[in-house]
Amino acid sequence: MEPNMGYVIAGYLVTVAALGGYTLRLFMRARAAKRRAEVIAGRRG
Amino acid sequence: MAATAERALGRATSRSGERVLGVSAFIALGVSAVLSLVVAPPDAVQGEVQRLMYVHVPAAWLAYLSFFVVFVSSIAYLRTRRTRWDRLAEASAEIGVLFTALAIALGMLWGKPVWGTWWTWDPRLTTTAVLLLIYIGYLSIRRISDNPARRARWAAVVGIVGFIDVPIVHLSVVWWRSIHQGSTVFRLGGPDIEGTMLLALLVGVAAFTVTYAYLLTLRLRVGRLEERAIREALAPTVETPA
Amino acid sequence: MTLVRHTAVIARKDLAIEIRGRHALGTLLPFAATLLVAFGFAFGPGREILARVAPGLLWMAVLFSAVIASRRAYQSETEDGALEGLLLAPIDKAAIFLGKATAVTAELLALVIAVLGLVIVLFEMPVGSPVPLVAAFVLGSVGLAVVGSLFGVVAESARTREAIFPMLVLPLVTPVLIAGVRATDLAAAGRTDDALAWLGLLAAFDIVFVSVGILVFGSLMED
Repeated sequence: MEPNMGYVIAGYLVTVAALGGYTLRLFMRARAAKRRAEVIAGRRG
Repeated sequence: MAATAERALGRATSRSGERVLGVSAFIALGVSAVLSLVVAPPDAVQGEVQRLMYVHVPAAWLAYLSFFVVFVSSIAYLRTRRTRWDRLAEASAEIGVLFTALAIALGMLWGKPVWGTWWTWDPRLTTTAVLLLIYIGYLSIRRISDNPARRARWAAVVGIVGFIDVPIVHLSVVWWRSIHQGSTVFRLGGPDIEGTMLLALLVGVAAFTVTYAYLLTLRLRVGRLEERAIREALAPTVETPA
Repeated sequence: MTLVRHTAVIARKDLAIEIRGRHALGTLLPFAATLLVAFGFAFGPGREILARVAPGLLWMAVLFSAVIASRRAYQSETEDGALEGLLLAPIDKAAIFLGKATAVTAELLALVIAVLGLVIVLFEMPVGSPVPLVAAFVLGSVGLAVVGSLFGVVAESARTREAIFPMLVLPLVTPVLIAGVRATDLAAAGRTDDALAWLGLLAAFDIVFVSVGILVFGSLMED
């Protein structure tokens, strides 16, 4: 395998990590916000 | 006409629209990866390393597209004062910072084997680095004010001024670097870029663009949810009579 | 034109405050001088290196001073609630922007004159073509002052973190820094023609930012 292949693999992995990681973070933010809104609304009842 | 556009936008930003975009982005990225890593031939001079072009160039393109969207929505906000434009600007800026950082990282990964060093102040990479700093400033200025209207206004000004500055920055960096003709600039495959390489590049750009659209709709939804949480927190705890 | 008149009023007011309080030259000049001496320690004592980096160090000093001066241009307003008074005044908001930018430019130029002499002595910077050299500093100071005066409003908000203002301004004035240093370098070497292109870039930057600033400044000042 060509020695510089490591850079290519690293690059594509970084891309996947960045895009995937950000998407995941957004999903987690969505869930947290939803939960917060429900808790507050529940407390008000 | 405007009604059809609004309905289309509404459908795109709905949950199902979002899911469709998400799946499309995933598939497009997959296809792009196959084209970039398997189908496209290695570069005659740079070898396999040149395959990083198929992620670096789309990332950079999307970075600039994102900030163009910030620019336009910032102007739209200042002229109409409708919060939807501010929400769009904020979402696009956040995603833009992601793509910009990614483009720089990929540029460095591409540069190390080609130039032998991580950073040579290449004009395009350097301008992208300044772009990153400007838009980190955009996101930071949004943290200063509690007042949502002021926050939106200030951010809009940075979004407009920042984008206008970018061509000037680019010009100055290009002139600055032309003093030392040493380092190579990123080669897009030479004078006749091979057919499959061009295809892989275009598919990469398309895939990233769909990804941007998906992230945008997702981020806008997150923004709405977070706003709702804040509204609930601020709403009066006394029950209003029916 | 009333805009020019109002600008002059604001500029005169700001400069009067500066001259009376001697804030600008009182703190800016010692600061810049200290900075340059520190640079001398950091990069010296080799004379070739110092002569080589002199333009860059000079512009760094001007850049940091511009940040301080712009911030202070708005500090005096917020300290006594004078900002509200300015907001209520029946003047075009752009006049505030232009007036403060003018005042800050004047302060920077005064600083440059003082510091230029220091650099020529400390770092043995040659002065091949004085005219483009002066032009570079005039145009550059305008550019720095304009960007600083545009965002200075932000610097004085209650919740502003310390580093936000320089963080905003520095990347935006990258062209001024690059072009200013290049032009100074070329002017010092006596290469007037080569310096002209950079001076053009500085002028273009100034025109663009003054125009855009006039258009958007009002939005920053509303409340």
